[in-house]
Amino acid sequence: MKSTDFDNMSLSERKYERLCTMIFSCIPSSLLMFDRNLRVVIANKNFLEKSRRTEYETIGKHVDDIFPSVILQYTRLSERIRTVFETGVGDRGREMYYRSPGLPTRVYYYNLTPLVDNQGVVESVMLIMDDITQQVSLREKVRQTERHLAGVVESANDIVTSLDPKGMILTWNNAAERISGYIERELLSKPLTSICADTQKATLVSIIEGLSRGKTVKHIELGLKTKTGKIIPISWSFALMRDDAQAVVGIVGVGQDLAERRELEAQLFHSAKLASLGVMAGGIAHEIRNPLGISSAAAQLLLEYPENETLRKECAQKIYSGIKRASQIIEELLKFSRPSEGRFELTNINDAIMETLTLIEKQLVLMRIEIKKNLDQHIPLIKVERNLMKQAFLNMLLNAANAMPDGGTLTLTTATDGKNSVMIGFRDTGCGIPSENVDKIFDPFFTTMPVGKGTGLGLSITYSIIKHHEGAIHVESTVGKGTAFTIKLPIKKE
Amino acid sequence: MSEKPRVLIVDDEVDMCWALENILMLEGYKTHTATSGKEGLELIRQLHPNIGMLFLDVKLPDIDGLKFASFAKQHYPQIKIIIISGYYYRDSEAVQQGLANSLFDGFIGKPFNISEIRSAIETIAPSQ
Ligand SMILES: Nc1ncnc2c1ncn2[C@@H]1O[C@H](COP(=O)(O)OP(=O)(O)OP(=O)(O)O)[C@@H](O)[C@H]1O
Ligand SMILES: [Mg+2]
Repeated sequence: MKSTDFDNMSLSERKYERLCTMIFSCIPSSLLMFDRNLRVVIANKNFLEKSRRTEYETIGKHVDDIFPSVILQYTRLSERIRTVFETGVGDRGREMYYRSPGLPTRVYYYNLTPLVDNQGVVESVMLIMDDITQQVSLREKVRQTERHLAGVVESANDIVTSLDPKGMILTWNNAAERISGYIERELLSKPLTSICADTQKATLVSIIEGLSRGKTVKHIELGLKTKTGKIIPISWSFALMRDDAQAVVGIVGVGQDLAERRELEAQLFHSAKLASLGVMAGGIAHEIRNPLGISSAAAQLLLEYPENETLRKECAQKIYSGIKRASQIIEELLKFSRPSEGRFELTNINDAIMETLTLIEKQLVLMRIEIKKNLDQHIPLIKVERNLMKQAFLNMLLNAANAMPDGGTLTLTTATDGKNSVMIGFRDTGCGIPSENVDKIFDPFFTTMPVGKGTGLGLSITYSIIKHHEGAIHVESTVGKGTAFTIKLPIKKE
Repeated sequence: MSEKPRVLIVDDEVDMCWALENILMLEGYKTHTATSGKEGLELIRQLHPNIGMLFLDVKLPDIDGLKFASFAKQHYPQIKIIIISGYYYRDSEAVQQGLANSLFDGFIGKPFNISEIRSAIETIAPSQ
């Protein structure tokens, strides 16, 4: 076997090497120097500490005996060192996971550097390893957070998009792709305005301008033009992304598909409507059988006594008015059960209340409920979804009736402040609502009615209908005295 | 044979009263009509010796028709009562029970045939 290079070193060389050893022992990196046989010539203090080895266990040992075989396999360290010896070119910037017995895994960033003698021959190769465990774990955390955020954005039901300060699209999430029909690739670097409904492009442009000057925008409704050309209503909220120096670097937009929400609401409204139809069915049967009974009796009289002149006239009249009344009730019923068309129409609220009242007026009278009407005859017309509004009124009337099983007074009031809103009041002299229930009555399925009688949906539906009209509903009640519900609807100017 | 007994009609629908009135009149009865429970009770109090039959609606705005019936049965047992209702059916429990307990003597659902009225009268007052 060949003698080691160490034996052949000159004195000055040894001196120089001692100096190096000193420096090596101070630096915060782990350092190993290998000779051509891949045996350790120098191991600094930092390495010995980190690897929990003594100098004796390290110096003169082959690289394969220093590192665990797993590491050697995946880093191919021996091979790399050999290559550096052969080519004279260093190998830099690799990561190594190293776990000394009894210690947690640490991550090193390592370099292989050739040390060349006067003739240009590689004499030894230096392995420098920097412990980057902390950086790596920080980096991992950042990545996790990023992945988490990306997951949230991608699984969101709403459109999430980021824009540059000029409004060009940078990202476009799954929901955005589903709603718009455009995949992210098709929209990258295109302006958001390019998929905005034509009539609202100008609005969006000014919103984006305002945003880049630092204004935030919430719940702005804009039409989005899908790939198939359909316009979908989207409620947009925009916020700014700023860098550390507070400069605006981008815009985040979150958009809710209102069509989807309205569809759900419409379904809910409709099923609740069917429920209240059930409640009314008994009353309606009675209501229709009366005019039918009258008409039928008159027709029979007419058949039996055709010669009686006066009777004939009267009969014809009664038949006619009876049929008119029956068909009016049926008409109201049909209007009511028809699904909402989602159409806002200019409506006289007084008329809507009166139409609703015809459905159950008779029932109220039979319950000995007196109806007082306090309707402002000069109430301004407002835009409402008429059928929905009537449904809300019906729920109020039914609730008032239920609260007065032994009769009472129901006062219907309409009023206006002239410019901003219309008020509709339903005041009953019924049982009242205990204060502990006041907070709960608008909750779906909250009911004090016996099982099978009330669904507890009436007020929650009414609430969503009023919200749908951007209105408000308010209750005041005293147990034993009565309850007053007030609905406030905005007068919108266009 | 003496004069036919008079008929009292109590129904809150004026037109329903009109129809019954005409049908019974043409059958040869004298009639009185009331459009509320209170009015009906008042008439009964005044005229009961002459009244033989009562046509009574169940859903009255001021008094429950069935209560009216039981009151009338108690105080003026000679008056035969026929319930006319668009609310109950012949096989409704309240109707079945009322007939079984003789709370009233006949039931007619709205809308009705004139023949039903004739046969109801025939059943409760065959002798007249
Ligand atoms: N005018 C009122 N007076 C007293 N209590 C009321 C009045 N309106 C509502 N409430 C109370 O609020 C509860 C909830 O009302 P809501 O209309 O939501 O359901 P409900 O009337 O019980 O059933 P549903 O309307 O589905 O048939 C009622 O059960 C009742 O206790
Ligand atoms: Mg209700």
